[in-house]
Amino acid sequence: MNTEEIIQKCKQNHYSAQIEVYNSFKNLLFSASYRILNNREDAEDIVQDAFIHGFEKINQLNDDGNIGAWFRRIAINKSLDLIRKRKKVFWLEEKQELQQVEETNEVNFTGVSIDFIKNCINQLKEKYRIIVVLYMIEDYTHREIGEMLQINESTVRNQYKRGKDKLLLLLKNQ
Amino acid sequence: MNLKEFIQENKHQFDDEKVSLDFDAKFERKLKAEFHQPKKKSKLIYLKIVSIAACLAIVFTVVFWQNNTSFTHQKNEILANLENESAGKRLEGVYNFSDDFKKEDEKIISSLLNLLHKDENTNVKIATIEALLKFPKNEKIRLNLIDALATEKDPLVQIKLIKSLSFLRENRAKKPLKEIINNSQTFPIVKSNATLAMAEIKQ
Repeated sequence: MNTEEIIQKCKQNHYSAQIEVYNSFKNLLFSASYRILNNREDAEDIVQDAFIHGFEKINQLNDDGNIGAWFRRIAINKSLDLIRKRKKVFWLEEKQELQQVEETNEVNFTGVSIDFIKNCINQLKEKYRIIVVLYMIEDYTHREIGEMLQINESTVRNQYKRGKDKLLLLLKNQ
Repeated sequence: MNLKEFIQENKHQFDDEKVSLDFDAKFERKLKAEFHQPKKKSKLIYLKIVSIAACLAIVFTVVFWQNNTSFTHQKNEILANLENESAGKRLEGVYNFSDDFKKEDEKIISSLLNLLHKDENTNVKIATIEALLKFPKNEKIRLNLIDALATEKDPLVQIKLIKSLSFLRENRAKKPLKEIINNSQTFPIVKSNATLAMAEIKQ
């Protein structure tokens, strides 16, 4: 079954197609949710909710759409909703943007393990970690992140810059 | 290479977290419960049928109650008219009963029998006899018509009673009929009707 057929079958509520989608993307969704929530049980709950919600709304997805990205986006949004609901993180609105620095060759990453980078990211304060994760790993733009977190774009840029600086410092001190 | 580029280049290594072993079974149960439960559907249909039946029952109850209320209202109106001082109103009551009631009503029939014996208006009495004839199998009505014939003095009412009992082929009317025939005070027209009725009943 190709992706288009799988989406069509999901729209017809075929159990086997739904399970195929689940098996293909469960760990992708779990990784994305876990990066944001930093808690395995919460992340699993989010993955389950995301798939159920996604299958309910599957008719909104085009037959040629990217089903994995679609489910991942649902999982990320649900993870952010959970953080907002628990009022764990506040971003103070900043209208003035910090001086923009071009993304340059900041560090020589030769020999730096991915686990170490993950570790460093996890050491960041939550308000920085979430924005760094969304920008660097999930590859969303500052504008998209602003919309997802319901804060303005300049706040995202400033928080990202501060978070990235702290992350680079941690990486340099390896 | 900047940090973001490095991460994107090694993105797959960031997506290496795995759900716990028992998560698949938990999810499958949830998926079945949410989307693949025929029982839930049939329960829904059952609920729909029950709610439709309940709605129909309410509608029927309301309609029945309205009909019942309207019937009671009509009956009370007839009873009130039958007891009215005005002969016109009593006559209206008798006609309304005659037109609208297909079934016997004990209270109204009782009221009509009272008119049959005690009303002073000829038209009311004649209309009453006509109304009572709607129920020829009612023994109480038959006996009261016979009693009325024995006591009635108004010739028009007497004729109506004679014709009615003749129509009913009421054998028990022979005695009052004989008395009418033998009574010197009886109007000749009443006598001839009584004689005719006697002959018809004997046949």
